[in-house]
Amino acid sequence: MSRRLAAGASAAALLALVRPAHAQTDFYNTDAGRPLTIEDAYPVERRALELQAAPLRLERALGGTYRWGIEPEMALGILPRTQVEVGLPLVYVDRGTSRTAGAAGVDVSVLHTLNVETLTVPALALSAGALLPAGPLGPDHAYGTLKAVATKTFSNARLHLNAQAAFGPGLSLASEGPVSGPVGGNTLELSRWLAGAAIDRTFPLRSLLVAVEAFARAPVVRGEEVEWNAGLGTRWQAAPRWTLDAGAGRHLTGDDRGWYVTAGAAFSVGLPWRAR
Amino acid sequence: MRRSLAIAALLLAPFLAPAALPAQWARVHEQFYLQAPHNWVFRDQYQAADRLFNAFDYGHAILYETLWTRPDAPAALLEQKEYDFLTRKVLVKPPRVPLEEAAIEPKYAQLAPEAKQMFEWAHILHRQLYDVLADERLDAAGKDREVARLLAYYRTRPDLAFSARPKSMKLMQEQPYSLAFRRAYPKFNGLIWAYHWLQVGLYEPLVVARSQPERQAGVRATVARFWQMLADPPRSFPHQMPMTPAVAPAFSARYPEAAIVFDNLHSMHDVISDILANDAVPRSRKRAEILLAAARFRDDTSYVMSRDAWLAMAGHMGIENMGGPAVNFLPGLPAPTVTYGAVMTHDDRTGAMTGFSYGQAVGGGHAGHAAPADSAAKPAARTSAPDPHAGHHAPAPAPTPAPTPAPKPPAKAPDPHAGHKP
Repeated sequence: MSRRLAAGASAAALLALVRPAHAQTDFYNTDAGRPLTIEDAYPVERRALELQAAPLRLERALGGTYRWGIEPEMALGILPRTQVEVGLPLVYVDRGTSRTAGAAGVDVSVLHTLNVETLTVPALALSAGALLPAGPLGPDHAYGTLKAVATKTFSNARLHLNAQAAFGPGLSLASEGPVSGPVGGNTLELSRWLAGAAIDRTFPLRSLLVAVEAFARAPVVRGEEVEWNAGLGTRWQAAPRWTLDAGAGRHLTGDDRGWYVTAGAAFSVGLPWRAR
Repeated sequence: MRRSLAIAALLLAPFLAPAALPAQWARVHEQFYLQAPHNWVFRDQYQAADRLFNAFDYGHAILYETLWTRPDAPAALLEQKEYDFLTRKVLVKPPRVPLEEAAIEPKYAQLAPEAKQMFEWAHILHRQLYDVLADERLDAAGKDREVARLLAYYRTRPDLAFSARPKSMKLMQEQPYSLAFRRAYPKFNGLIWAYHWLQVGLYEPLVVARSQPERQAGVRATVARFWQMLADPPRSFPHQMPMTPAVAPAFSARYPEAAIVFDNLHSMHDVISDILANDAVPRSRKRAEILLAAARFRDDTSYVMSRDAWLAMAGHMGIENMGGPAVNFLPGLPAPTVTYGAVMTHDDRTGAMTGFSYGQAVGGGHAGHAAPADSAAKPAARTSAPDPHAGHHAPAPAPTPAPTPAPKPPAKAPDPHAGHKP
C-alpha cells in the first residue's frame, strides 16, 4: 500500500515521461497530454513560440488520492519540422490525510517530423525526451524516452499511432524484476513501453476537433499487468493565437482504475526577425 | 497476446495498404507569420471583411478537394450544392478564425503538399499586408517599411514564394489543360474570380483613403461591391481573372512586387483548378503537372514579361471584364466587353492584346478584335519550359447551368453604395 501511495505521489511528476507534453497552438495539431496521450506527427511551425501557462491535469487514484498537475511549458519551432520543448511540472497531491506539493523535475524534448503526409506515405515523426531530476518530487535520476509517431489522414478522420519506450537507470524493455535501488520511488509509475492509437475528427468551419484514444502501457513493477487506458478530448481554436483543449480518460485495467481530466490553453507568437 | 497482435495489425493496416500511386516523399514545412505589432490589426478593425477571407479559404479548399476526390461527380455538385452552401451559409456567416485548410482538403493536401504550402505562404502575405495597411499607428513611410519587411520575410522561403516577375497569361490559360474548369464550372469559377477581386481590391481603399473613417467606409463599400457580384451568377461575376494593377492601381503602383506576387498566386489557383478538372490529364499525372506549374510560378524565367508589359496586358484585358475598380465605382456593375472566360492573346514583349483564342468581344474597346474560328482553346504556344502533355485536349464545354437566386449578404451589411465617390 505504501508503495502505491508513493507511486501516487509521484505520478504527476512522471506524466512528463509517460505523456511528454508537446504543445501547439493550432487546434488541428494534437499534442501528447493536450488533450490526449496519443499525439499527431506534427510539431509547431518553424519560428513559432508557443506558451502554455497552466495546462492542468487532475487525476483521481484508487483510495481517493487526488493529484493536481500543472506544467508551464514552452515549445519552439527551431528548425524545419522540428520543435524543442521545455516544461516544468508542478504537482500537488492530496491524500486526504496529508498533502504534498513541489516541482517534479524538468521535462525537455525534441520532436522531428520526417515528412509531410502524401497519398501514399503517412506523416512520420521521431521524438526524444528526458525528465531531469529537479525539485522535491522529481526523479532520482534522469530518464529518457524515444517515441515514434505516425499520422494517416482519411477524408473524414485522422488516425495516429504512437509507440514509446523509456530508458534509464534500472529500466530496460526486457527487465522483469522489481525496480529497486538506483531508480527510486519516483519512477514506479513509469512505463517500460507505451503504445496506442487515436482517431480524431475535425469540424473545420468551427475550428473544432474531437478525438478518442486507446493505449496500453507496461508498468515497470513486476506483477502488474499491461494497463489499458481510454480517453476522449477536444481542441478548439478560440482565436488566431489561442487554442483551448479539454480531455478525460480512465484506466481500464490494472490495480489503479482511476480517472483523469485535463484542461489547457496555449498562446503562440513568432520569433523576432530582422532582414539581413 | 494474440488479441494484441490482431489489434496492432488492424491499426497498421491503413498505413501499409498498397496504393495505386507511386510512393511520394514530401518534406515541405510550415513557417510562422512575421511577428510584428501590426499582427491581426485588420481582424480587429475590419471584422466583417476579415471573416469573409476565412470563408474564402473554405471555398478554395472544398473546390480542390471535390475536384480531386469526386472526378466523376456531376457538375451540379460544385455548381449548385457547394456553391449554394458557400454563398448562402459560409459567406453569410463566415468563420471567426482562419481555417485549417488541410482539414477541408485532406486528400488534395496529400496530393500536392508543396503547392498547398505555396498558397498558404502567399495567403499569409495577403493577410499581413492588410494588417500593415490597416494599422493607423503607422504613417506612410512606416507602412512602406513594413511592407518591405513582409516581402523580405516572404522571400525567405524560395521553395514557396511566387516569383516577383510578372508572368504571361499564357501560363495560366493557354496550356493544354487550360479552360477546363471555367467551361465546366462557370459559376464556381466566377466565384473564385470574385474572391480574387476582393482579395486584391480591398488593398485599394486602404491605400487611397486619407483617414481612418475613409478607410472604414472604403472597405465597407468594396465589400458591398463584392456582394453585388453574387447577384446574377455567372453573368455578374468577373469575366476575366482580376488583375491587381487594374483592380487596385494605387496599391500596385506603390507595392508592385506584392501585386505581381498576387497575380501569380491567383493565376496558379486557376491552373490547379484546370489540371484537376481536366480529364485529359490522367490522375497519375496530376501531381506532376501541379508541381511543374508551381515551379514555373516560382522561377524568374518561365513565361516572364516586363512590368510595363504586365501593366499593358492588365489594361488591355479591361477593368470592366474583371469586376470593375475597387474604389470610386458607379452603382451598377460594369458591362463586360468580352464573353465569359474569354482568352485574349497578348504580345509578351509589350503586353498588347493581339486577339482571342477563346471567346470573343461583345463591345467596347475589344469589339475590333476578331474571334477565333472555332472559339475554342488552342494548344499552348511553346515557351521556354516544355510541357509533357502538349496536345492534350480539354473536354467539351458543359452546359452553363441556369442562374440561381442571389444570396443575401448578412443582415447588417452596409449600403452597397456607401463610400462611393464621384
